[in-house]
Amino acid sequence: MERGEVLLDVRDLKTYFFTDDGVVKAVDGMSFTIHKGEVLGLVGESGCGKSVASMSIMQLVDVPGKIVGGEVIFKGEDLVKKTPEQMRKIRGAEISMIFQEPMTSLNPVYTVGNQIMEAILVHQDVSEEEAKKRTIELLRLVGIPEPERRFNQYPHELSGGMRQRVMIAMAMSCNPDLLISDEATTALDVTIQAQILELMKDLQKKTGMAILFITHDLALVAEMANSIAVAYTGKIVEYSDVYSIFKRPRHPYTYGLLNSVPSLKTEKTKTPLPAIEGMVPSPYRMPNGCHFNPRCPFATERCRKEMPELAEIEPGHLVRCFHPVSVEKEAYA
Amino acid sequence: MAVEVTKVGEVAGGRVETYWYLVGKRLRKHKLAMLSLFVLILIILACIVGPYLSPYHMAELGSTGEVMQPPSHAHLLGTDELGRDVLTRLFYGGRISLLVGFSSVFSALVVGIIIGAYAGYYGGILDTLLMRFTDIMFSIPVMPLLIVLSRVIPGSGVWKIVVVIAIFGWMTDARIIRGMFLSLRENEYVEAARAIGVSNNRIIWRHILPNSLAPIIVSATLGVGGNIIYEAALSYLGFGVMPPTPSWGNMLQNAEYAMAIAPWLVWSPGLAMFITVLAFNYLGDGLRDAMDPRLYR
Amino acid sequence: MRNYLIRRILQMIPLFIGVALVTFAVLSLVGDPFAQMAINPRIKPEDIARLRHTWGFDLPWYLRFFKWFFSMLTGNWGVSIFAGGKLVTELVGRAIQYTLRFSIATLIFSFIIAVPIGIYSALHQYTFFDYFSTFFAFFGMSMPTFWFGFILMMIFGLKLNWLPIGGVMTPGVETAPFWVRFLDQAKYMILPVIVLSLFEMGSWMRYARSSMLEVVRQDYVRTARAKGLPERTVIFKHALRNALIPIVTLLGLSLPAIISGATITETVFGIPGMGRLTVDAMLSNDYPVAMVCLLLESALLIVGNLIADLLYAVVDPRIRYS
Repeated sequence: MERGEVLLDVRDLKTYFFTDDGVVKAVDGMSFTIHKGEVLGLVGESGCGKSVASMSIMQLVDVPGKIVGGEVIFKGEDLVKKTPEQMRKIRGAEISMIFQEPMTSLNPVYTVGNQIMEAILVHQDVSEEEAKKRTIELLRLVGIPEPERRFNQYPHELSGGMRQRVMIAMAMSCNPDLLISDEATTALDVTIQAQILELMKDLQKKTGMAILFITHDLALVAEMANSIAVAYTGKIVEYSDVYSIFKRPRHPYTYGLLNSVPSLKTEKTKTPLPAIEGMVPSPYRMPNGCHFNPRCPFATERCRKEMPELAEIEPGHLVRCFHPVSVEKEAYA
Repeated sequence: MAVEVTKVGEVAGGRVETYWYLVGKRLRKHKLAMLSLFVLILIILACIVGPYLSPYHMAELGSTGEVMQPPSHAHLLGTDELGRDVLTRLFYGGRISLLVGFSSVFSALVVGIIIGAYAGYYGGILDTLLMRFTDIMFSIPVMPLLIVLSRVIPGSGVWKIVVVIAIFGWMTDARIIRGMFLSLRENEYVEAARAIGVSNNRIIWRHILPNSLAPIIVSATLGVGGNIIYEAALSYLGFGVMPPTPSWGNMLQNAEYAMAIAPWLVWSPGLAMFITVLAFNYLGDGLRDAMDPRLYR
Repeated sequence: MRNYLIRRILQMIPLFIGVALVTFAVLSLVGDPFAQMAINPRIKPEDIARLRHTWGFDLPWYLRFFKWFFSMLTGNWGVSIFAGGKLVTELVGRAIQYTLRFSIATLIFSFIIAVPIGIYSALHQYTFFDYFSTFFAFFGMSMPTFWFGFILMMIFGLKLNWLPIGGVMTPGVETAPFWVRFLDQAKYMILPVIVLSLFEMGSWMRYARSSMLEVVRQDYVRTARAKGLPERTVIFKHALRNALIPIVTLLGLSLPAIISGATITETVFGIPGMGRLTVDAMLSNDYPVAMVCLLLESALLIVGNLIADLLYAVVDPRIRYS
């Protein structure tokens, strides 16, 4: 698959939270790249740092958190070094973000139209009528019927799916180069989820924007992404294109995740669903060596002492493990 | 392949981190609240033990020469218009004021919890009736009626004041508890309990109530401070604790006259009240922060 | 919205009747106000009987209630028993003037100072300003008002002699020109307003602060920032508007206090306002005056609640359109 030029290059990003109970290394050396027009799926359980990573890209990390290292190169410039005013111009215009909870992500006291128009007016030098026209067009584009009427409605008058569409409209309003979707469909019903995903795929094709698709749901990622980065406790543990990840998962964690998803095969054999033993470690009490070792069936002494580096074991396939899995997995239906 | 599975709630090291343990931990970080707690314990101890340590009795009248004396070595806070030692009276008064504060809050709490729990749990007509009643009580102007009630109800004891304050003080707690019950009764553990056949009463008192205590504790702590002032105000007006029993309120009864000639009589009870109530307020605020459910997500 | 309004007004009526009943019941506990008059040799028994009849004391209590309730509603408030036969309307009218003056001044003064400070504190948490204003708020809320009144009177009135220690105006100033009178009355208002405002300011400040803190944590504020809005817009357009909702409704709820006055402060400073009037009437068994005052206050409490709800609907579209 041909990849365009590099749009976003995250290099060894480190975001730490300095709390009263200790330092939480939410993002501890994450690196990944997104090319123009590409969809990168960032996958991981709760607490693996994926949301913090996205907020770090947007430079919206709040006290007690702080970016302590690494670079976020967007269109050739390091966002970490930008001033708040410079960053503000980029946010919403070149990089947009949509969040998980559409109900609470929209301001309840302003109309939907007002909130979308706001985004346009702040970044683009157009008149109010022009902005209003564009807003109605956007509402139509994201599949909201009767956009003129909806323009004047308040968020609580819309359903969850529609609110998320409004969020998408807001994010698209200035034609961003990169859209960050942070678990945008997690809070929706399955059928609505499918609709929103379709919409996002559609928009992506139309506009050629890149998407950083953050989720914990492997099925979604298979649908949407070109590449996948698997995150665990603040680090990327596996990184490759979608087919390689699903067909040849190399990291024991990825392997465990894929195995624990019920498929038609498990149905037939009626074996118990394998689950990864143990729990994600508390951020205040990280294990020594590879963070996954307490739960890893293949852990050795070396794993308990040293942290492996992210290494390329096959062209285009990076793994952070001393003993990558070498079994070819059944193709994921 | 042996993997150590940790039991839920157990942290490596063995301590079970219950909600209350976490609350305690957070509270200890709140320096002002801990200071207030310390001050309050000091004040309470002083009021309990003080009278035994003092060479004077609260009603011991001094000779004519000892009336209205400013603070001196003999009388650390001076004497009042009848020659009584102010410091000793302050201790006794403190006992009364604190007693009234705590018991009125406690009684209001009991009434409020009962009403709120049943209204919130059962809902429907019972809820509507109880809440209408609460609304009516809320809409009644308190101060004038407090005065009337304290005149009409026989007796002049401290307990009369407690009852009178409690009669008008339970509504806020009732509303809080009702709100908590309305939301908590939808929880799965309530359904589960019902499915097993646990009786309604048991569900209310053993299951839901312990989980609704947090805002009540805050309200109670702040309430003690508030009620101390309330009692003081009533006593000052002549409707609360009657002399010669001292309370911080009625020690200020002659303040208008004392102002000009014996200012120490005005400063002592007021400062005592102020510091005590301030401590309760800071403590209550610290508790509120410590028990904030959002921080335990 | 209109339905909501109508529904709320209808709910008010049984509430009001309920409150009237309870008030009536409690006051009846006081007993027969006319019994005392029998002791006074100057009042003829026929007059007492006539008064009894006018007030319905010769009827069973439920009829008395209705008779009284009806006359309340029609504005026929009768005559004060003990204030030398003055019309109750006159007494109440005069007392309300003083109370209104002080209460409105207090409300404006405390609101205008406290709310902005509270909001600023929320935005600058953990700074010195925040700690200091929090202390000030607690100071105000823990201070027993009547004691504070005395302290202020002692310091500013007696020691420094800057301000008067009670009353509402210097005797003899009624005939002076407007400005002189105005300034004179303002002088008398300073201390009571400060005392009354102290508690108010403390609680408005805390309330504003916690409301703002809560709002600033919300997801939609995060969205606003993610859209690239300037921080000023995020705070003033998005956060503040939401933070003010509960504050505005609280404003509605503090309306009744404007009329009922602050009994304690009025007593301490010798202001002949509604609070004093009510208490004095109750103490001297001045039945007509007491009942009117109580009922007025209850009515205002209920109306205040209604206004608070209405303000809430005006300010929060979620209530309006559901």
